[in-house]
Amino acid sequence: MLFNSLDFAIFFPIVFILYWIVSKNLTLRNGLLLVSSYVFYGWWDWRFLFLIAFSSIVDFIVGQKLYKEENKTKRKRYLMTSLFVNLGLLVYFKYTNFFIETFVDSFRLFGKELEVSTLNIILPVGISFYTFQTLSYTIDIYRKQLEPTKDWLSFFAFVSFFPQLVAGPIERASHLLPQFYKTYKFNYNQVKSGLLLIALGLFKKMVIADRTAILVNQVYSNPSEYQGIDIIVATVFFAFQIYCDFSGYSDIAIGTARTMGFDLMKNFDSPYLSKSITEFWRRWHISLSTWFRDYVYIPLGGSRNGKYRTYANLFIVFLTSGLWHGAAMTFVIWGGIHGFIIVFEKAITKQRENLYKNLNVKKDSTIRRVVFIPVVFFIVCFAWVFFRANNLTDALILISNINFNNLSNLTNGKIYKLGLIKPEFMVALIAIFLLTLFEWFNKKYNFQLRLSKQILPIRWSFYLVVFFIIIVFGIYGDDQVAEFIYFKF
Amino acid sequence: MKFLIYKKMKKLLFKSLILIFIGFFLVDLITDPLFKNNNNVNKVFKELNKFDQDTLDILFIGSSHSKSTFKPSIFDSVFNSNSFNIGTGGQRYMLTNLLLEDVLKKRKVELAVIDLYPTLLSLPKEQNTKGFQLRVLDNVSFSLNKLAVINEIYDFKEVPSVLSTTIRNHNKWYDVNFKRNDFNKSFTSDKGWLTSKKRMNKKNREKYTNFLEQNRQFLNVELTQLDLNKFAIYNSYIQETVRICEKYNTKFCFVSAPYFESFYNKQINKKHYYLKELLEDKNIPFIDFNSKYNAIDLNLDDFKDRDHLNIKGSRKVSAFFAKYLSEKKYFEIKNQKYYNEIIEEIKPRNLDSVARIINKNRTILIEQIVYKGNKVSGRHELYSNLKLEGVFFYETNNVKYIAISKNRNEHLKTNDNMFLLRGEIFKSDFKNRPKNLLKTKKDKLLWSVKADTISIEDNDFYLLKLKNRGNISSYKSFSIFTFDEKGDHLRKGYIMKNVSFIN
Repeated sequence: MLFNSLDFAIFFPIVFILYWIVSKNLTLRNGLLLVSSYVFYGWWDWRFLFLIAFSSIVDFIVGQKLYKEENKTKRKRYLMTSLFVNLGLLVYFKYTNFFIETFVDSFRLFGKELEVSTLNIILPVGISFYTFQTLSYTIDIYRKQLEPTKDWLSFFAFVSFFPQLVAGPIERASHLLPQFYKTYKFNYNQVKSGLLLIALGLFKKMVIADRTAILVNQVYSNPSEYQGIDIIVATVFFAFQIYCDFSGYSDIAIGTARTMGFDLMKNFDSPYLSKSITEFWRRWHISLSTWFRDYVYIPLGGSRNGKYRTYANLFIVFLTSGLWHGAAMTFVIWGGIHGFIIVFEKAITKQRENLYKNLNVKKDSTIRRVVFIPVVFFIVCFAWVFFRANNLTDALILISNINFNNLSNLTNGKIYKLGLIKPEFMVALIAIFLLTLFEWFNKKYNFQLRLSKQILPIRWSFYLVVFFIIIVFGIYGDDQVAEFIYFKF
Repeated sequence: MKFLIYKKMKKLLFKSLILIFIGFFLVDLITDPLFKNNNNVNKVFKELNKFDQDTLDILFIGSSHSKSTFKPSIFDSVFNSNSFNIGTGGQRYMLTNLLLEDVLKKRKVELAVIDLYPTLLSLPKEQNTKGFQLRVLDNVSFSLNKLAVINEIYDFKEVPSVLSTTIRNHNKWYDVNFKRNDFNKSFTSDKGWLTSKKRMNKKNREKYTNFLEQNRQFLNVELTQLDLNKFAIYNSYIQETVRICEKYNTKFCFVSAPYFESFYNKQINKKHYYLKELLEDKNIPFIDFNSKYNAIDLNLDDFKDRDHLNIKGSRKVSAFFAKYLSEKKYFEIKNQKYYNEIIEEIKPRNLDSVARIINKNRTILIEQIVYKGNKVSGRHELYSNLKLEGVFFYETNNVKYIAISKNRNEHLKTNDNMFLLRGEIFKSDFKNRPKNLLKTKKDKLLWSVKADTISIEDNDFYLLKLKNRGNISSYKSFSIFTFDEKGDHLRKGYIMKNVSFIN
């Protein structure tokens, strides 16, 4: 079930009303959440419910055993069981064909052609997300940072919690699971806030992401037919497409959870305003980057074993993160680019700080923002080419075709032949501008708080304007409902 | 405390519902009218809604067959009545009932004429056929019946776009109040009636040459028990129409507008036959125009395509139906002269009657008459002292004539009645050219003809016998020139396109 669908528009109010009717009874409430989450997930394909149920059963039992067990070897075995089952399922469903293709390609390099065909495996939606979420549970228990729950209902509801089940934020058990142990009072302002966040998410997804996707898809599907500014525009549009798609989904997820009293972690914090790639990863997909930090980087040694080992660990983390995003070499390269830049930034940290000191440039100075925000945006966009391209060949074609020879396309109207006619193109630009303005204003002045202090006609006028913008300018319809990008993960 | 929570929840629910209601109310009030297609159908309904009389005398309803067949102004001229045609393309029968009831609720209708086209008695399944029903749904008031019909036809996910033109057409936001012309300028409309001057294209005319013979087969159908079971549902549709008309005290009459394509489709024939039998059994008035081709003198020239009449055909059927309505005492003739003229037009033809009906108001059979260099219509001046008032092609027994009516007191300058004819042949008919041209690429023939003059009653005609210059239907354009005193043909001539003959 997609958030921007009629099905969800009917599903959510029903769940919301039932939720608050039964909210005082913890068992009933968690039961309702579990059932509704399974209905939500099963709407795509009911068969994959067995997968998520199986994963939940394994980790629930492992968690219990792990906590009671004192023997280190046995504890490791239990952890390995959880890792093996969860990662095994993830690897099987997501990476089997990738490994087969890589295996065949590597033999091809030596001139040997292997007759091995890929398997017909359907990727369960959101498997990468809920797998990481349940792993955080068993790993935290292993590290004795968390007590396991004896309440299977709470646990199952935690694993399958529908607002964030299929595309995050990837919640830590220590943060989300305890929220299932308590009931919440109906908080009018909290519900309002959640609904506003849902509206914002729908605006991002339907007005910006799905609109820019039209242009991006046209260019990236036929890379050799486009040159110069066309590719640049498509890539910049993709930067906003993926941001609005993903952060829009996160907003809807957080907002939906908030209406029910749950608090999900912030997943995006104006990432394109970052002044370094390091900062970018503190603002982009925060739940994933912190997961990798805590469960991959630190276990690898983090920064505790010297600088070269630190660089290697960082690079490994980003390569893995790239692979997590997709089972293709382009994603690995994307991760590698980010890893490389992060390592480079880390390597020159001292020199950079000395330079700023000598130039008397403060950390949050305007000059640093003006210089580095565009630079970082450019680097991120460059990496996005690999992320979005259909394959490595396409990515290389796109990169090689980037130039400034046809800048006139911006003024002679040819830019409007990339899939978005002029009015649609303008709406995309205006919507991006409005979003940027809103995010800046919200961060500085807390827009929601200010809005809540206005009189009813003003508040309702704002809500109706947002409603009309989504209804009129949103991309939707039977043939236009687009899946969230991160659903592939 | 519990009470406080419930109170807050109720407050939220109440406010949400009010806000949602305001939102959709504003959509209905502001954006839906802006996003409504500005097409012909919506214009017709606007016109109907603006109609200031409480009573409509005749309401024509049904699909595009009804729309292209019944011309309200003919009935209004004959009976001094008020009639309207709210046929819409692809209108399924359940929508016909819904629309009929909606109109009858709003004003009194003396006679409802409901067209039955067999294939439209089933539920639409494909996207385009579902789309056609929106033309009716957009113009029917909201009601439980409407919701029931929508529920029957559309999937759940399609319902929002059915109910709201904003949701349906939002992707055309940059063209708000977009103007969509359904049909090109060759179409003519009048109080909902809409059809074209065009005649069926040459390819189809050749394909359906034998349609009158097919018509005889069409009338001879045998239904199996399986057919009877399958078609039984039509009973309920017809009953519903009868119920609606009786409820609102409206006389009704079912018709089957001409659509000869069905002669070639066994299933449609069967359904048609079933309906005919059903209506006759129940003594429900039903005019089957598809069994009256000879009586109305309908032929291929009267159709713009296999399913729809053109202006000429529509005029004939409307005249015939007006005759029926007066004979059955539905309405009294108020304009006898006009009535006589239109009835005269539908009489079957032979050479005598051809000559008899050539008159000032004779419908021009060819698509357009072009005075070379300028397009004109009506009276055309070929030469300063000759006014040609109508051109009529007639073919009988392979003898081909062109009959040109002329003003009695005017004569051709040459006085020897010589005409020069020039015809341009379709490339596909090159093999039909005279033998001496077969080896050439010449597509234009030029020859002179001495015209006979004939007088019938008060009308004079030049009768040009075309001799053997290939089949006249091979010509895509024809020019007629007269000669000056020196014997040179005048440069100016009539150019007639899409030439065809009457059999």
